[in-house]
Amino acid sequence: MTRIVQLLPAITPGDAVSCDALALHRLLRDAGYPAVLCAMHIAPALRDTVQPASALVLYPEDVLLYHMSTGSPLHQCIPHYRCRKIMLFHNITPPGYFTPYSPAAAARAAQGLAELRQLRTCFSLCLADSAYNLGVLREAGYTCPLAVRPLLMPFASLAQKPDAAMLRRLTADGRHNLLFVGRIAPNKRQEDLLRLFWHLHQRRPDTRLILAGSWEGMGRYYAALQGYARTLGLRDVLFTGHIRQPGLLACYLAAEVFVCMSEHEGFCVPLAEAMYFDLPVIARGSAAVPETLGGAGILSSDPREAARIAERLLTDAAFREAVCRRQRRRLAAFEPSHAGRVFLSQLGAYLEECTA
Amino acid sequence: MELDIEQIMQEIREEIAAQPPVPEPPAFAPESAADALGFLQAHTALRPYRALSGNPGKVFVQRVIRRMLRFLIVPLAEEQSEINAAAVRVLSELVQREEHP
Repeated sequence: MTRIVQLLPAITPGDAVSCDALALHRLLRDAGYPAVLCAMHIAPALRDTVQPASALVLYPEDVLLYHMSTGSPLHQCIPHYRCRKIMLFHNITPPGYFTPYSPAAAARAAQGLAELRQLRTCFSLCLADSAYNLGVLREAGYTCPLAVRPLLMPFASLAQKPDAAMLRRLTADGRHNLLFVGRIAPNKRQEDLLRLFWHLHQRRPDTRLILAGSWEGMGRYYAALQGYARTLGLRDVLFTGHIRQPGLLACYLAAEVFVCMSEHEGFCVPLAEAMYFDLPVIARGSAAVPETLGGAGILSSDPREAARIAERLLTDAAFREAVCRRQRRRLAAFEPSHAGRVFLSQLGAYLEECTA
Repeated sequence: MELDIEQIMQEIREEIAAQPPVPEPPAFAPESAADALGFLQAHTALRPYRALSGNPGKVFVQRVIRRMLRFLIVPLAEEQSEINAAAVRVLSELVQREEHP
């Protein structure tokens, strides 16, 4: 029987690609496929669900789903697997963003892009999170069939109980919280969020900026951001660092506006999560962000303008409601059952084509 | 009737254009010398140990290997930490001389 084997370099709870892989694994099992999930580095919490890639044996009738998001020694194995292969592409951040802060991260990203080009003839189908990502694949020389596959949003995990103590801490002083969720990384342009907040803080000192995300591996960029916040005289900026799910939920629940100045995103899951929490979104219209927002939210690349929009959202209930209403309509497109159906039909059509 | 978001956006843009120009915040420097120095100062001392993770068997083996290599790793880390500390001292003094000649 055809096994559907997912393979990814690393799997860890909370990471967007890992969440997608785990959700796909459940979906495939529920749909009656013998599904296998393998990774090279497995977080201890997932050792029962995920098998080590070193023990992976593939047969010609198997279908391999390879999650591509970074450079990995796994790419050397891909051409040698004698089975049907599908790539699930999640984008690779251009290395130039990392060069000033982390030569190692820049090297990994550059390696990932080189591997992406090397693997261009290895797959018979590539599925990407967004049309923007399909463009990246075309640029890398992919000529196999390409299609967009909606991500399986981890909405169920957002319905858990938040960290009550953190929620109290963020709401007790009555400040209006602006939130961005994402690791501290130069492509996310957190410095522009600090500029946005600087403009807002001039007019509304009763505000706070929460930057929820890990700075692991980006210590120098984090230090530069802290220095910049000091230069701007901003005290009400909270860098949460790595945060567990209940803490993240507390941030979403305490926030009133979601702000994103990210310049490079292959999809940007937190935008959909913000819409799930009915938070009005202000985002820079770069890379896949406009596609993810699909006409909802508000696009603005100018920190000063974005600050004025945030202020208006905090004070004008009708404006806020109009923005949120548009986002609620957009949110329907991310319904996990819809994304699941799309993926299963794509997989079914692929398997039929293989047997025809 | 649904509120026209584009119209509000237009209002905001006109409001900004009509206002006298406000001073822009200082530009973000990717990493100032002071930031880099701060990073060096915070990471002067090498920590030869990392938290071990994995199943108990793997952790045990890693711990044994770590114990066996202690005689080699710890002096190397200490020596490198001393070199780092000296380099950071020199750099700090140069920065001070630059700032307060």
